[in-house]
Order: sequence, then C-alpha cells, then structure tokens
Amino acid sequence: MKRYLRMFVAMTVMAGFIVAQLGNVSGQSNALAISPRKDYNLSPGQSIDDTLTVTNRNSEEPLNLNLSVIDFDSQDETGTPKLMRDATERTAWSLKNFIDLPQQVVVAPGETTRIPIRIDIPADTGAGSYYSAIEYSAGGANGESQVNISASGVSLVFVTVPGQAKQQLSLLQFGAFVQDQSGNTGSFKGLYFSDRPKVLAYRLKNDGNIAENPNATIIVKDFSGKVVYEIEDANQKDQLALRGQTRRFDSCINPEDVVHNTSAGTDINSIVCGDTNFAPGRYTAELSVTYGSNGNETRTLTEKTTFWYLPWWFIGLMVVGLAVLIGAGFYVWRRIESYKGRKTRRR
Amino acid sequence: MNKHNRLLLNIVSQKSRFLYVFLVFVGALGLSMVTGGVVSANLYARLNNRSLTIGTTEPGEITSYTVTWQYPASSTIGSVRFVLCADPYVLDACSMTPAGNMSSALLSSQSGETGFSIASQTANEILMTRPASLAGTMQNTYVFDNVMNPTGIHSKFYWQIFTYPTADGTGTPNYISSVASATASPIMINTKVPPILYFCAALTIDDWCETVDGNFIDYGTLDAENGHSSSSQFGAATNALGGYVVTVNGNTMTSGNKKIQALATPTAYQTGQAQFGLNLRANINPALGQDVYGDGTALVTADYDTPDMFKYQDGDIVATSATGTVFNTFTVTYVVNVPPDLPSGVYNTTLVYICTASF
Repeated sequence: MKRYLRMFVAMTVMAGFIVAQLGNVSGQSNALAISPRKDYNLSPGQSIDDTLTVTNRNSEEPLNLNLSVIDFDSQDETGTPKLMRDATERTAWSLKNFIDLPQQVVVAPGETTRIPIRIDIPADTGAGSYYSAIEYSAGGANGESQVNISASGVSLVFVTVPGQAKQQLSLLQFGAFVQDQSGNTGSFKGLYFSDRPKVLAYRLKNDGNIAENPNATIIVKDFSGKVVYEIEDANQKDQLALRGQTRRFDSCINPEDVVHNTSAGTDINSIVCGDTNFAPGRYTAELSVTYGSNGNETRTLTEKTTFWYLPWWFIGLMVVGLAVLIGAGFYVWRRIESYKGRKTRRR
Repeated sequence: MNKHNRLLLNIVSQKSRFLYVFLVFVGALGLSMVTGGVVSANLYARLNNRSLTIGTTEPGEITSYTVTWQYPASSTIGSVRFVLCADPYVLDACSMTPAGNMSSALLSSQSGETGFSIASQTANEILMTRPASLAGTMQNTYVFDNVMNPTGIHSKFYWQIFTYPTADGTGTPNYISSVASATASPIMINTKVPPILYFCAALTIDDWCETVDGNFIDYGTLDAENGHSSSSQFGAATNALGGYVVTVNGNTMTSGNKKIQALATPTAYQTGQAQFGLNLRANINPALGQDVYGDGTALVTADYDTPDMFKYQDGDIVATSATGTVFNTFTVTYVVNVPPDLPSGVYNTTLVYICTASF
C-alpha cells in the first residue's frame, strides 16, 4: 500500500504541468450584434444623450460585457482602423474624455439592450473631427486554461464639430486599378491585356483636422470622346480619409448592388464590381472630388488619366494587319522602282 | 561593284530604311501606350473660396443659409442661380433632389456684389438677379432666411451655383461651382434599417452566432515529442457597406516571464521546436482545420491563408470583407510545439478576436 502511495506521489510531482481534460465548458456568451458606427454633429458646449444597441445572439448564455473607450488611427490606405488599446496618451482627435457610458453590462440570452451613452463637447473645443472606438469585450474567458478564446465587437464613434477648421486634401494619384483578392491592396495599371478594367482608384492625402468624406464623380470616355461610363458616386460606401491618412478610394466602374435576404432578419447590401464591356482601345477617365462642408470652404480636385485595353487577340490582329500593310507598301514601292528602272534603261 | 551587287545593296538599304521607319512607328505606339498620362484638368471656371453655412443641422428645420464666394476674375454678373442637389457634379443634370424647400426663402442680407433680389424660386431652386454689371474679386456673401433643411438622417447635400452675365439667368453661365453642407440627426430614425455588425468566437459556432459553444482549449501536458494542435471558430456578418475586419490579439503562451516563441512569419509545423501559431485553412499537417465557408464575401488575409503554414503576431488582421456581407464562418487551427528544454510551468494565453467595421 505504501509502495503504491509513493508511486502516486512521485508521478504527481514529476508531471510539472497541470493536466486537465479538454474542456468545452462555456457558461458565457461570446456572440453579439452591435451598431458598428455612430456619427454626431455637435457644436462646442453641446451634449447629446444616445443609446448603443447590443444584442446577445446566444439564446442560452448571458453576455457579460466590459465597455471601454479606445482611440484609433488608420492602419493603412484602407478603412481598417488601428485600435490603440495599449496607448497611454490620448490622440489629438480623441473622444475619451467626452464620452460617458457604463463600464459593464449584462445582456440576457437572446435579448437586446440599449446602453446609454452621453457625449459632452467642451465649450472650448475647436472645429474639426473627433473620433474614438467603443470596445465591447465579452468577459468570462477562463484564465487558468491554456488558450482562452474571447470575442470583442467595436463601434466607431465620429463627432464633427462644425466651424472653420483646417481642411487640406491632396489628390496623389488616380488611375485604373487592379485589386488583390481581398481588395485591400493592389496596383495601378495603365495597360490591360487580358481582363477588362473593373476598378478606378484615387488616393487622397488628408493633412487637415477633419475626417473627410469626399464626394467624387468619374467620367470614362473612349478615344473619340464619347462617354462610355459615368460614375455618379465614386465614394458609394461613404468612406473617410482620417486626419493624417493617405486613403485609397476604389470605385467600381460598373457597380452592382446585391441584396441578400438573411435568416437573421436583416437585409444585407453588398457592392460588387460587375464586368465592363470595354472594346479594345484607349480610354480617358476624368475625376472630380469635392469636399468641405458646414461652413468650411467647398473645394474641388480634378485629375485626368488614361488607360488602354488591348487584349492579346486584338494585338495579334493589329500585328497581322500591320504586316500586311507594310508588305503591301513594300510591294508597291518595288513596283514603282522597277518601273522607274525600266524607264531609265529605255532612255 | 557590278550592277547586280549594286541592286542588292540598294534593296538592302531600302529595306533597312523601311525597317527603321517600322521600328520607330512601333516604338512611338508603344511609348504612347505605356505613358498613362496624368494631366491636371480644369474642366470649367470655378468660384474661389466658396462655402455654405447652415444655421442648424437638424433635418427638416427652418433655418438660415449663408453662401459665400469670390469670383476668380472681374466678370459681368447679372444673375445667380442656386440649385439644391444631392451631388456636386455641375456638368450634368442633378442626380437626385434632396427633400429640402427653398420656396419661401428670403434674401435677408448681401455683401460684396450687391443689388440682387429673388426673381423666382421653387422648392429646389432660387434665381436672384440684378442689372448686369462688372463684378470684382472681393468676397461675396448672401444670407437666405426661411430655408428648410432636407429631411432624413445624416444627409450631405449641395447647392450648385451658376452665375450669368445676363440679368435673367439665361445663356451660358460664366462660372459654375457647388458648395456642400450636411444635416445630422443624432437620434436614429426608426424607419431606416440601421447598420449592424454580427460577431462571435468560440470553440464551435453555427450560422449567425445563434449557438456558440466553448471558450477555452487545454492541451494537457506539453511535451517536445508530440505536437499539439486544436481549433476554434469565429464568424461575422454586417450590412455596413464598408465591410469589416477581424484581428487576433494577445500574447503568445507564457508562464510568468517564460514564453513559447510565436511564429513571426508563416512557418511549417515542426515538433521539438518552440512554435505558437495559427492559420485559417484546412491543413494536412496537422490534419485539422477547415476553409472559410458561408455565402458571404469575407476572406482570410494572406499570412494566415496557406495550409500547413502557421503564424502569430499580436494585432494581426486575420479576416476581412470589403463590403457588406452575409455570414461567414472561419475555423482557426492553433499549433503549439515545445523544445525539450522548455522550462516547466503552466503556459497559457487569452486570444481576443476583435471585429470592427471599416470606415
């Protein structure tokens, strides 16, 4: 008996790591539906009381949420926010000190809760854009286990303080664009050999203190000047160029609005780039970007670019045609020279 | 040199000349192809230093509109037309007229070029006129009272401005521009579907996060000879047109100040070495994981999109959708391998998946 007891103790000591069975224990929801973005227009000294809607998608477990206000910046030239969760100082556009909301909320299974939020803009706040993020962290991860999984949703909050603000947008680049599979990166291209161009993109640099939501239009003309495509809204997703950001705006030449009816009770709209029907040739695109509102000067930026669509079959045709032309021309020249030669000999 | 050779030489030199001309032509054609050509273009004469200020941004409110601009050069001005429009594109017919109302507007004040009065007005257009006269380049400001803001929530709108040398708004305008403003209501109007972002993360989830199960993984004893892998899932959907991104956040597995090295670049699974990483694909080694599925358009980002290659960096984007999308489910495969000399301890981590709409 003592021998078995000693063996047992020795095995336990030699383990060195906590051994526990794989667990599927939950007891806490990690499923939520939130408002992804809130926009306000508040003057200095003005306050607003609003609500944030949160739904617990889990029909069995409660959703314990910790709420916090976090600053964010732009991550790259897309609309991906870079959350500054570990920042110790506020950004120049931070709303951290202006937002008041509860720090913890419990949402019953399958229920929707409206969380009160108050935004106070101090009277000495200058005109411009201010923004921060509200993170809803689903608590309850078991910190003793080896890999804990937790979910957080984030709402982006934008406040525009009207008045004369510094606004400065520069148009850096405009042209036909080829997106990568994710749509986040890609390259400008002036010559297309296989696929027809589907996207025109423009890059704006924002050196002002307003998060600009530009309005843009693009006209595409063929070599004869005939308008083949007119993009009335080249910022259809109402995207922003944040303070200090160089933002690329991609615009479908032939946008298609796709609506999905969902089992969740919400219709989902997607904008996808449909096929274009460019014939081979040279095209010119003209861009006009307008920005500045609510007392700020309205400005317009314009740019023109060209691109070619030359499919391989067309190039082949052109080469053959050119060869025929040159051959015919050479033949005619030879005949003329031969005739001249005979005339000279007769003399 | 005999006649035959001279003839040959002549033919060759003529052929060379043709070849030269042909090459120059092709070269010029090629040069014109690749030279994309970005040329700044002023499509039409615009007003300078222009803006529109509205008294209140509440939709549907009666308020004052102050519009101001400068003429770029001295010009004969007899009339000015203001057109309320949803777009600033003045070279084409207005795409849509916001639901504002200028039919009762009053010109209460004017400075700079003065002498104007309202000759005609409708809900979306005002024509003010004066006897045609030369206008200077000073700042001109006009205040219109009793204008009703467009209704709706957070609506940007424009006043398109056309100035004419004639006194009745006819003929070719000498300047055309637009000025912008916006209304913004902080309270959601219930008739419009608000944007929503759906998100969940757990060991297993189902469509639209209606059932989520499990939130921790325990590998048991970690040893160098046997690799360790497991999986979890997350899913998202949104009707926000800009789409969403999902990031993974947290440290690698640590025990006090000891840690299992995270894979900084996509790396193959290898037992006996310090590895902590993940990917979002169906793998062969280890035989675990699943490709993203669902009717949505979301995609896995490049660094986490290769089977049997694993990576982990705190804050990395793992999934994105460029537009509004229905639900997609992503399966995350985690790998943990340890070297023989890993110090003993309890190693753990908390990974927080954060879903954010794009702006």
